Formats: sequence, C-alpha cells, structure tokens
Amino acid sequence: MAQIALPSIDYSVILQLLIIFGSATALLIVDLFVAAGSKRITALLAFAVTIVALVAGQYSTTGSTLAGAVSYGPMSQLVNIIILAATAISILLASDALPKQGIERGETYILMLLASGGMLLLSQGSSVVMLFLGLELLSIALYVLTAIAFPRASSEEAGLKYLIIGAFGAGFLVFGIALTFGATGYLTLSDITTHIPTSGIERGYFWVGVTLMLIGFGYKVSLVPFHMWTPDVYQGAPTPITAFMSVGSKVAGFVAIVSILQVLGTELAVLRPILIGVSIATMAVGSIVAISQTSIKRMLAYSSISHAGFVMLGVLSGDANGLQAAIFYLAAYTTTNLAAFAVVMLLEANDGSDLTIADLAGLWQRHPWLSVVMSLSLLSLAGVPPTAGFFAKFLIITAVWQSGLAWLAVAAAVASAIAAFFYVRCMLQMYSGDSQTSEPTRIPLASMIAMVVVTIAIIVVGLAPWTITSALALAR
Amino acid sequence: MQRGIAGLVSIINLVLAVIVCVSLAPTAGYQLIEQQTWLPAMGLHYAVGVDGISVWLVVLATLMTPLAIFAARQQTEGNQRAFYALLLVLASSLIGAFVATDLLLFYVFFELTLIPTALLIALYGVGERRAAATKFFVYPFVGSVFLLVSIAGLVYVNWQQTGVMTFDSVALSAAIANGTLKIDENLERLLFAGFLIAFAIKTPIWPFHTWMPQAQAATPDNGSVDIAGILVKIGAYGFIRFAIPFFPNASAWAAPAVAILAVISIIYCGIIAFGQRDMKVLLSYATISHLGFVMLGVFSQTVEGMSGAILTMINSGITTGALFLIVGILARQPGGRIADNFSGAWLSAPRLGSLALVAVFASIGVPGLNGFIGEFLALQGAWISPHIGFTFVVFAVLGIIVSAAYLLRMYRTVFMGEVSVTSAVPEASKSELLVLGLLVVAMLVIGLYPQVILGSMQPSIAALVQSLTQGATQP
Repeated sequence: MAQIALPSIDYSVILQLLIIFGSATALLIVDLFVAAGSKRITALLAFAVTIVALVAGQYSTTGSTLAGAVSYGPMSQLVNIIILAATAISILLASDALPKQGIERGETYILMLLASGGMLLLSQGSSVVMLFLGLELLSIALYVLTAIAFPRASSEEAGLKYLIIGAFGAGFLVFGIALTFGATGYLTLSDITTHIPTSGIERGYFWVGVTLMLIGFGYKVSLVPFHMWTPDVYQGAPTPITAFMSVGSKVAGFVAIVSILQVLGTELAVLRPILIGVSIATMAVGSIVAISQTSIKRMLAYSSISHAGFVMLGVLSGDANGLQAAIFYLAAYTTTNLAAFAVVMLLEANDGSDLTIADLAGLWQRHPWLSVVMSLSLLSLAGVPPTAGFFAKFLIITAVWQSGLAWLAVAAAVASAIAAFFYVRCMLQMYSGDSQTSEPTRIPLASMIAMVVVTIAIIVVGLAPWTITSALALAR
Repeated sequence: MQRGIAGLVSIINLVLAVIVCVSLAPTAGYQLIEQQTWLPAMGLHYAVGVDGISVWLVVLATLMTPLAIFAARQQTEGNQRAFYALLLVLASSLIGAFVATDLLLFYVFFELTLIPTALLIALYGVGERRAAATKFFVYPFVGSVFLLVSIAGLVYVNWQQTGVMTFDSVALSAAIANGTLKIDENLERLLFAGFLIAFAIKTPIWPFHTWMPQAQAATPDNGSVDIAGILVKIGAYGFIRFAIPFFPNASAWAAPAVAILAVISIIYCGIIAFGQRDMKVLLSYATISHLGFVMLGVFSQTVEGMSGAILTMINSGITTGALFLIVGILARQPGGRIADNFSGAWLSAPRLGSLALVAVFASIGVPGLNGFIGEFLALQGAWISPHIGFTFVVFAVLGIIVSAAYLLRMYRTVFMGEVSVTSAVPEASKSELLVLGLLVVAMLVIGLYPQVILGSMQPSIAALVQSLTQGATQP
C-alpha cells in the first residue's frame, strides 16, 4: 500500500490563521465557565486574540505552504491587518451594544473570531478550495450571528434570508470551481493561470467556471444583481454584527475576486465589458435606491452596495494602480463604515428597533461629539475632503483614467454625485430640527475607544494618505 | 468671550494678509512659496504661494471675516463656540483655496468651503434652512465631482506625454503654454467641460445659480454668514487660475457660449432682483448679476477684462458686504428683511442712510466709486476681445440700468418717504457707523485710484494673457 504523502507545512506562513482558529476553539470551552452575567470576559479574550494575531502578522514569513494552497505576501499582510483591526473594533462595539439590548451571548464573540478566520483564509488562500473553505467558514458564522438576537423576529428572518441566499451563492461557487478544475485540471491559482485552455469545449467550461466563481463572490460583496439580500440582512441583524459583516465580508470577498481575476492575466479583457456593466449597475442601484430609504441601516446597506461598485472599478482594470486604489478604498470604507455603525449602535433603542434618519434630528444639541463622528463618516462615505473617503475616490478615479476608461470615470462621478445627496441630507438632519427625545446618550468606555480610533483613522488617512499608500507600494 | 477670541484671531489674520500684500514684489509668478511633499508617489504637494491676483482675494477674505464677526454680535441663539469656529474654518478654507498652487490641494480647499457654510446655514439659519443647506452643499458638490475627474484626466495626460506625475498648477500651465503638453482637441474640450461645470455652478452663473438665493434666504438675518460667504463664489477665480490657462483653445472656443450665459445672468437675475421684496434675496440676485460682468471679463481673455473681473470680484465683496451689514441692521426692526415694511428711515437714521446711499451707488456702478471701474474694465475687455465682441457688451450694459432700477427702488422704499411710528428705524450705533464708514472709504479709494489694486495685479495678468496667446498659437 502506497504511503499517503502529506505536504510539508510551514507554520509561520499560517501563523495568524492558527492563532485565530486555535483560540476560537479554546474560547468555546473557556466560555462555558464564564458566568452568564460576565460575558465581557469572553469579549475581552476575543479582542486580545485579534490583537495578538495582528502583531503576529509581523512575524509571519512570506511564502506559500500546504502544497501552494495557502500563501502569505505583502498584499495579504495588509488585507489581514484591515480584517483583524475591523474585527477588533467590532468586538469592542459589540461588547457594549449587545448587553445593552439584552442579547449578549459568549458565542457571539467566538463566532466573530471564526468569521474573521474565514476572512483571513480568503485573503491568504491561493487555491480555489481554500477560497471555498474561507467563504463557507465566514458565511456560516455570519448566518448564526445574524440570527443571534433570538427571539427577535426580524433577526431570525434576516438570518434565514441570509442563509438561503448565501447557500445559493455558495452553490454557484462550488459549481464554478468544479468546472474550472475540469477545464484546467488544477486547483491552485498559480497552476490554473498557466493552464488556461486556449480552445475547444474546455475553454467554454473554463469561462463558465470563472464566471460562476465570480458570481459566488459577487453575492458576498453584494454586486448588482446579486445584492437583494443586503438591505434586509443589514437591517435585521444586530447592529454590531451588521457593522462587522458590512466591512469584513466585503474586504474578504473583494480580495477573493482579485485573486480570481489575477488568474486570468491578460485574458481579463474578455470579461471586462461585463465587469464594467456590473460595476456601473452596482453604483447606480446603490446610490439611487438609497435616496428613498428612511432607515439608517438600510441606507447604509445601499451605500455599501454603491461602494462595492466603486471598488469594482479599481479591481476590473486589473493593473497594479487599480488594485492599490481598490485596497485603499476598502481600508477607507472599513474605518468609515465602522464609525457610522458605532454611532447608530449608541443611538439605537434597547429593543433594537430600527433607527430612522428622522431620529437623528437635533443630535447636535443632544450629543455634539456623536454628531461630529457621524458627520465625518457620512462626509467620508460621500467622498468629501479632508476625509479618507475623498482620497479613496480620487485614487479610484485616477486609476480608471490610467486604464484608459475615461468615460467610466465620468460614470463614477455621476454616481458619487447622486450619493452625495442622501449622505448630506442625513448629515444636516443632525444639525437642524429638534430632538425627538431628551434621553441623554451615555457612551460606554469600549465604544468610546473604538470610536476614537476609527474617527482618528478617517482624518489621518484623509490628510496623510501615505500611511496606507506606502504599505500598498510595498504590496505592489 | 468666544466672539472676542474669534475677532482677535481674524484681525491678526487681516494684519498678516496686509503685510503679505505690502511685501509682495510687483512681478509675475508666485511668491512666498511654501512646499511640502504630501503624497510623493503621485506627485502631490502641499504647495502654497501668492501672486498679484490671489493676494487681493486673500486680503478680501481676511477682511470679510472680522466684518462677519462684527455683524454677528447680535447672534445669541445656539452654540456660540461652534458658530465662530465654523466662521473661522470657512475663512481658512477660502484662504487655502486662494493660495493653493497644487491642483489637488486647491480642490480640497474648494470642497472644504462647503462644509462650514452648510453647517452654518443648517445650525443658525432661518426658515427652510435644512433644504437650503442641503442644496447649498449638494449642488456645487455635484459640479466639483466632475472637476475631480478632469483633474485626474489632465494629470494623467500630462504624465503620459511628459512622464512627470505632477499636480503643480504652475508646471502644468507652463507645459501647456510652451507646447510640451499637447492635448487632443476633443479631449481638451471634455476636460474643460469638467472645470466649466464646477466653476460655473460655484460662480454662480445662470442657469446654475438657484442654490444661492435659496441659501441666502435661509442665512441668519444679521448677514454674518452672507458676509463670510461672499467669497464662497470662487468659481471665477478658478477660471482665471486654472481652467483658462490649462485649456486655452477650449476656453476660447467656449467663450461665446459662456458670454451668452453671462449676459443672461446679468439681465435675467437683474430683473428677478427687481421683483424681490426680501432685501437679502434681492442682494443675492444682484450679486449673481454682478458676477455676470466678472464672467464676461474672465472669458474676454484680455488684460483689461481679467483685471476688471478680479476688481469686480473685490468690489462686489466690499460693496455687497456693506449692503448686507446695512440689511442686518435694518432687520433688527420688526419689519425684518422686507423692504416694504420700512419707510422714511433717512429721517430717523440719516447717517446710516447716507452711508447706505454710497454703497448703493457703488453697487450700481456710479463713476468715482469702485463698482464703475471694475465693470468698465470688464466690459472694455469683452469689447476688444477676439472671442466675445461688442454685441454682448451692448446687452450687458442694459444690466447696469436694471441694477440702478432695483437698487434705487429698494433704497427709495426703505429710506425715503414718510416716517411712521411703526417703521421708524433708530440710528445705527457708533461702531456700526465706523465700520460702514471704513468700507465706504475703501469704495472711494478704489474708485478714485484703482491703481492701488490694479498696479500689483498687472504683471501677473499680463504674463497670464501672454501665455494664453502662446498656448493658443501652438500648432
């Protein structure tokens, strides 16, 4: 009997993954011994794990392991930092918001860790199987997290919706992987690149396979027409979870899309017209439908759809400039969205009922600092200087010009002009009109820390964009 | 307390601006340059400097700020700290926009002017303040998004042809003037269109003007925000500094079309101003009408026209600032801002009345005062310009007649006639009279000896026009 040959494993490449998954499993047991009233301990432990993993990124070695299935390079280093930082901030926010609403469970934080592990796997995965594994780990954790506000009906509904649609998307992905494997005979991305069929039925299989894989991830990052679930799930999920998934799964999903598109190399030109159409439709639907929303979480959901279109603009050019711009955009979007959701979380009623834009009226009188944070994040989402969002938009437009698609830059400009309307309207709501409630908003310490960090990040990235671009230049 | 600090800071700023103005050598090109790298990989710099054109706008911006703070002394509602902080942020973003030599830095400041002004309207405004503030923000923002696309495009084309990635406006306009950068005709027009939309909305010029009267109807009655925001209309400066030097052929090509819009602005907004009873809205339309002359001067692309345009911008700031201050003083009465509620104010407030008369004359363009010389030069430039010609001037002159009609009627309604118990206006306070007096002195000085301003402006404008003819004749 032939011996089973196991590939050698370089543990320092997958250091961050090991830390996250290992500690998450251990924490599941630890959590059993934490009293119901003091689940903050679990939260703090989970937070500590993400910080340790963040630091561990510095000590990981670049390279690939597990027979080329997982790799670590400058690009995944940067993306991992974004993902882990977003997870850490989300855990901090959740540890305040969930007990306030009476829906805290220790598992929440552990599931967040597991989801972030899935995201890391998407960022580091260099084989289609790893991408699938990452997506499923991420998704399954998020399905549960969405529905965790038991017995709140809206949360259950959102969880079920997300599960069904997500399973549908995963089906596309698996089928795409199967076809790609059938056409090329390989699973690792680098091998697929060198074995793209040039003719025959295999070429057909290959293109269908790649398209289906892109659709699978298109669901995750909510590209039009695969965006339908986004507003319902964002609205129904507990707000800290919404914040987490709106940034984390978007970053991870886009990194996976980038990995797949990089496989294509120069053949990307075949798909480009479709990708352009998708990104224009995504920007347009996101920006236009957001105008008519009254719920802030739904508005932010459509805004996240519109931003996915912008990121797609950077991705579809397929060159280094576009990629850098897209990553910068994701970083800016992450910090901005976390700030916006943090404010929503603090203003929400304890029963988790939906916060409307009208509820923001008079926030300036009630709580000036919260309205400053919210204004900055809305301005950043709209792309107004001097915020992170402005530079992100500028880099995307420059990258689109450089890839020779000037008219697409104009389309992006139109979409961003439409979007500015509802962001600004929402912002000015806080400064005029009278407050609906006189209830003072107390900001707990953990939320305060999280909010200060992301707000400073919005300004710093906006004024000193080299903090991220220099890291991007390394990742080139 | 807050007002005192804000006033002190703004006066220090004014003194510094005057020192800069005096120390400026009368030559073309930027002086007092400061440069720091911002994003080296993309050729971005924090680069600021002044020349004969921008220095006057800086002085005007720093002059308007203490004036606005003075006008706001009655402002007691709401958060005082935020009010003065926002006024100062507005002032610094305006100064930033005038001194930025890096294109993206200019854009940042250009956009930044929107935030404090919109917040001032939303927080301290009256009436439909939220709708007005939203429109005030969104309308110009829409235009400037296209400006961003055009900036990215221009920089990219320059990078493609010369291999240098730079946002330095001096380098870019020099490259265009000496022919190292040649933009394809259609592309040049498209890029110019992005600049045109942004600056035409910001100027504003008919039919892109609707955000402005609505915003000014919603600002606080005392006029502080209007005075501080006079220069928010920096579109004309953008044309002179960026759009025209970057795209000499396209702007010559578009000049007749812009001139038609400018003439429509002058006459149409003049007629609308005639129909207004709210004095602040009237002044708002009057400003748009004046800015039509500015646009004619700018697009004449002659030394006379451009000098006249900048002078008209400065005059419009001083004169309209004085008029807003006067309306603010009147609006303390029960009559508010409605002209018809007043009568015979001259009898009870003769000093205010006489100062107001000078300001009204200056705004109409009576010779001997500042308004005349600016509009005359702008029209002269338009006449001798190869792109515009005298037909436009004939129609534009009609606008001066219209402006005499609406301003004098407003003056007659408020200050002439019989005084009644309900409409009596008390005399303005000594400090108000002093400030208005100083503004009137400025109007007289510029009117009688415009060389103060024109002299130091001339070398820069001459060099600009020179480079335009060079750029346009490049094959």
